[in-house]
Amino acid sequence: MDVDRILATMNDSQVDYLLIGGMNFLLRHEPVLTFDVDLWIDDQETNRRRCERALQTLDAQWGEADGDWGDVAARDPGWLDRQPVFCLTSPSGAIDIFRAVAGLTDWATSRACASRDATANGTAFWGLSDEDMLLCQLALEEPYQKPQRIATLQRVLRERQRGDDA
Amino acid sequence: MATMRDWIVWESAKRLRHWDRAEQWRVLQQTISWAERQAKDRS
Repeated sequence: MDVDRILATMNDSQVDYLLIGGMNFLLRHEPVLTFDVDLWIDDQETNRRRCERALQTLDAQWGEADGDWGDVAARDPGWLDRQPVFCLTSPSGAIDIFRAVAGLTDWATSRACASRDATANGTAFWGLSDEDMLLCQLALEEPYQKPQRIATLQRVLRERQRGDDA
Repeated sequence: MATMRDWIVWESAKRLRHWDRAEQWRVLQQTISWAERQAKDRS
Protein backbone atom coordinates (compact mmCIF):
# COMPACT_ATOMS: atom_id res chain seq x y z
CA MET A 1 0.00 0.00 0.00
CA ASP A 2 1.30 3.43 -0.90
CA VAL A 3 -0.14 5.47 1.98
CA ASP A 4 2.10 8.42 1.13
CA ARG A 5 0.68 8.62 -2.40
CA ILE A 6 -2.89 8.54 -1.11
CA LEU A 7 -2.26 11.30 1.43
CA ALA A 8 -0.15 13.38 -0.96
CA THR A 9 -2.85 13.19 -3.64
CA MET A 10 -5.49 14.33 -1.14
CA ASN A 11 -3.19 17.18 -0.09
CA ASP A 12 -2.39 18.20 -3.68
CA SER A 13 -6.10 18.13 -4.55
CA GLN A 14 -6.82 20.39 -1.55
CA VAL A 15 -9.27 17.94 -0.03
CA ASP A 16 -10.26 18.82 3.52
CA TYR A 17 -9.89 15.48 5.26
CA LEU A 18 -8.91 13.87 8.54
CA LEU A 19 -7.07 10.59 8.68
CA ILE A 20 -9.05 8.28 10.98
CA GLY A 21 -9.14 4.57 11.79
CA GLY A 22 -6.29 2.10 12.06
CA MET A 23 -3.79 4.00 9.92
CA ASN A 24 -4.12 7.12 12.08
CA PHE A 25 -3.70 5.02 15.22
CA LEU A 26 -0.71 3.20 13.69
CA LEU A 27 1.03 6.43 12.73
CA ARG A 28 0.45 8.08 16.10
CA HIS A 29 0.68 5.20 18.57
CA GLU A 30 1.43 1.55 17.90
CA PRO A 31 1.19 -1.09 15.16
CA VAL A 32 -2.23 -2.42 14.22
CA LEU A 33 -3.09 -4.52 11.22
CA THR A 34 -5.04 -2.48 8.72
CA PHE A 35 -5.93 -2.93 5.07
CA ASP A 36 -7.09 0.53 4.20
CA VAL A 37 -6.72 4.26 4.58
CA ASP A 38 -9.82 5.74 6.27
CA LEU A 39 -10.54 9.39 5.49
CA TRP A 40 -13.29 11.55 6.98
CA ILE A 41 -13.92 14.39 4.56
CA ASP A 42 -15.57 17.71 5.25
CA ASP A 43 -19.03 17.08 3.83
CA GLN A 44 -19.31 20.19 1.69
CA GLU A 45 -20.20 20.03 -2.01
CA THR A 46 -16.98 21.68 -3.21
CA ASN A 47 -14.92 19.36 -1.03
CA ARG A 48 -16.74 16.28 -2.30
CA ARG A 49 -15.92 17.36 -5.88
CA ARG A 50 -12.25 17.83 -4.92
CA CYS A 51 -12.26 14.40 -3.31
CA GLU A 52 -13.78 12.86 -6.46
CA ARG A 53 -10.97 14.37 -8.52
CA ALA A 54 -8.34 13.09 -6.07
CA LEU A 55 -9.81 9.58 -6.24
CA GLN A 56 -9.76 9.83 -10.03
CA THR A 57 -6.06 10.77 -9.89
CA LEU A 58 -5.47 7.69 -7.73
CA ASP A 59 -7.17 5.49 -10.39
CA ALA A 60 -9.65 4.37 -7.75
CA GLN A 61 -12.49 1.98 -8.49
CA TRP A 62 -15.94 1.80 -6.92
CA GLY A 63 -19.46 0.73 -7.83
CA GLU A 64 -22.85 1.57 -6.45
CA ALA A 65 -23.64 -2.10 -7.02
CA ASP A 66 -21.65 -5.11 -8.19
CA GLY A 67 -22.84 -4.61 -11.74
CA ASP A 68 -21.37 -1.15 -12.20
CA TRP A 69 -18.04 -1.58 -10.40
CA GLY A 70 -15.29 0.25 -12.30
CA ASP A 71 -13.09 3.34 -12.57
CA VAL A 72 -14.47 6.35 -10.74
CA ALA A 73 -13.04 8.42 -13.60
CA ALA A 74 -15.93 7.18 -15.73
CA ARG A 75 -18.54 8.53 -13.29
CA ASP A 76 -20.28 11.86 -13.56
CA PRO A 77 -19.42 14.38 -10.83
CA GLY A 78 -21.67 14.04 -7.80
CA TRP A 79 -21.31 10.32 -7.19
CA LEU A 80 -19.90 10.97 -3.70
CA ASP A 81 -23.24 12.60 -2.79
CA ARG A 82 -25.12 9.30 -2.91
CA GLN A 83 -24.31 7.56 0.38
CA PRO A 84 -22.52 8.17 3.71
CA VAL A 85 -19.53 5.86 3.24
CA PHE A 86 -17.59 4.46 0.28
CA CYS A 87 -15.09 1.57 0.20
CA LEU A 88 -12.85 1.83 -2.85
CA THR A 89 -9.85 0.04 -4.28
CA SER A 90 -6.90 1.69 -5.97
CA PRO A 91 -3.41 0.67 -7.13
CA SER A 92 -2.14 2.55 -4.04
CA GLY A 93 -4.36 0.52 -1.70
CA ALA A 94 -7.87 0.41 -0.34
CA ILE A 95 -9.46 3.73 0.61
CA ASP A 96 -12.55 4.33 2.75
CA ILE A 97 -14.25 7.70 2.43
CA PHE A 98 -16.55 8.74 5.26
CA ARG A 99 -18.93 11.70 5.04
CA ALA A 100 -19.95 11.13 8.67
CA VAL A 101 -18.41 9.29 11.59
CA ALA A 102 -20.31 7.66 14.46
CA GLY A 103 -19.57 9.33 17.78
CA LEU A 104 -18.44 12.61 16.23
CA THR A 105 -20.88 15.35 15.35
CA ASP A 106 -19.03 17.97 13.40
CA TRP A 107 -16.03 17.77 11.04
CA ALA A 108 -14.91 21.36 11.69
CA THR A 109 -14.88 20.81 15.46
CA SER A 110 -12.78 17.67 15.09
CA ARG A 111 -10.49 19.41 12.61
CA ALA A 112 -9.90 22.21 15.13
CA CYS A 113 -8.38 19.75 17.61
CA ALA A 114 -6.78 17.42 15.04
CA SER A 115 -3.04 16.79 14.92
CA ARG A 116 -0.80 17.92 12.10
CA ASP A 117 1.70 15.15 11.55
CA ALA A 118 3.86 13.60 8.82
CA THR A 119 4.77 10.10 7.71
CA ALA A 120 8.36 8.90 7.80
CA ASN A 121 8.64 9.99 4.15
CA GLY A 122 7.57 13.49 5.12
CA THR A 123 4.02 13.44 3.76
CA ALA A 124 1.95 15.79 5.90
CA PHE A 125 -1.52 14.86 7.06
CA TRP A 126 -4.18 15.88 9.57
CA GLY A 127 -5.03 13.04 11.93
CA LEU A 128 -8.03 12.74 14.22
CA SER A 129 -7.12 13.65 17.82
CA ASP A 130 -6.70 10.96 20.47
CA GLU A 131 -9.80 12.25 22.26
CA ASP A 132 -11.90 11.90 19.11
CA MET A 133 -10.39 8.49 18.29
CA LEU A 134 -11.54 7.33 21.72
CA LEU A 135 -15.02 8.80 21.20
CA CYS A 136 -15.27 6.89 17.89
CA GLN A 137 -14.34 3.61 19.56
CA LEU A 138 -16.75 4.13 22.45
CA ALA A 139 -19.57 4.95 20.03
CA LEU A 140 -19.26 1.52 18.42
CA GLU A 141 -21.36 -1.41 19.60
CA GLU A 142 -19.24 -3.62 21.85
CA PRO A 143 -18.55 -6.41 19.32
CA TYR A 144 -17.01 -3.84 16.98
CA GLN A 145 -14.89 -2.03 19.58
CA LYS A 146 -11.13 -2.60 19.69
CA PRO A 147 -10.25 -3.04 23.40
CA GLN A 148 -6.49 -2.72 22.88
CA ARG A 149 -6.94 0.55 21.01
CA ILE A 150 -9.28 1.89 23.69
CA ALA A 151 -6.82 0.93 26.46
CA THR A 152 -3.91 2.64 24.69
CA LEU A 153 -5.89 5.83 24.03
CA GLN A 154 -7.15 5.97 27.63
CA ARG A 155 -3.60 5.48 28.93
CA VAL A 156 -2.17 8.16 26.63
CA LEU A 157 -4.89 10.63 27.61
CA ARG A 158 -4.41 9.89 31.32
CA GLU A 159 -0.66 10.45 31.02
CA ARG A 160 -1.22 13.67 29.13
CA GLN A 161 -3.65 14.88 31.79
CA ARG A 162 -1.10 14.10 34.53
CA GLY A 163 1.53 16.02 32.57
CA ASP A 164 -0.81 19.00 32.24
CA ASP A 165 -1.61 18.91 35.97
CA ALA A 166 2.05 18.73 37.03
CA MET B 1 -33.33 2.82 7.38
CA ALA B 2 -29.71 1.69 7.04
CA THR B 3 -27.32 2.60 9.86
CA MET B 4 -23.70 3.63 9.36
CA ARG B 5 -22.68 0.12 10.46
CA ASP B 6 -24.96 -1.37 7.77
CA TRP B 7 -23.30 0.83 5.15
CA ILE B 8 -19.78 -0.11 6.25
CA VAL B 9 -20.57 -3.85 6.23
CA TRP B 10 -22.26 -3.60 2.85
CA GLU B 11 -19.52 -1.47 1.26
CA SER B 12 -16.66 -3.60 2.67
CA ALA B 13 -18.23 -6.81 1.40
CA LYS B 14 -18.76 -5.29 -2.05
CA ARG B 15 -15.14 -4.16 -2.22
CA LEU B 16 -13.89 -7.62 -1.25
CA ARG B 17 -15.89 -9.12 -4.12
CA HIS B 18 -14.06 -6.83 -6.55
CA TRP B 19 -10.59 -7.03 -5.04
CA ASP B 20 -8.26 -9.68 -6.34
CA ARG B 21 -7.07 -12.00 -3.53
CA ALA B 22 -3.42 -11.82 -4.64
CA GLU B 23 -3.67 -8.03 -4.66
CA GLN B 24 -5.01 -8.11 -1.09
CA TRP B 25 -1.94 -10.07 0.03
CA ARG B 26 0.34 -7.68 -1.83
CA VAL B 27 -1.28 -4.70 -0.10
CA LEU B 28 -1.00 -6.37 3.30
CA GLN B 29 2.70 -7.16 2.81
CA GLN B 30 3.42 -3.63 1.58
CA THR B 31 1.52 -2.16 4.53
CA ILE B 32 3.54 -4.18 7.04
CA SER B 33 6.82 -3.06 5.41
CA TRP B 34 5.64 0.54 5.33
CA ALA B 35 4.48 0.39 8.97
CA GLU B 36 7.83 -1.05 10.06
CA ARG B 37 9.57 1.88 8.38
CA GLN B 38 7.25 4.34 10.15
CA ALA B 39 8.03 2.77 13.53
CA LYS B 40 11.78 2.85 12.85
CA ASP B 41 12.04 6.32 11.35
CA ARG B 42 9.56 8.06 13.66
CA SER B 43 10.83 6.53 16.95
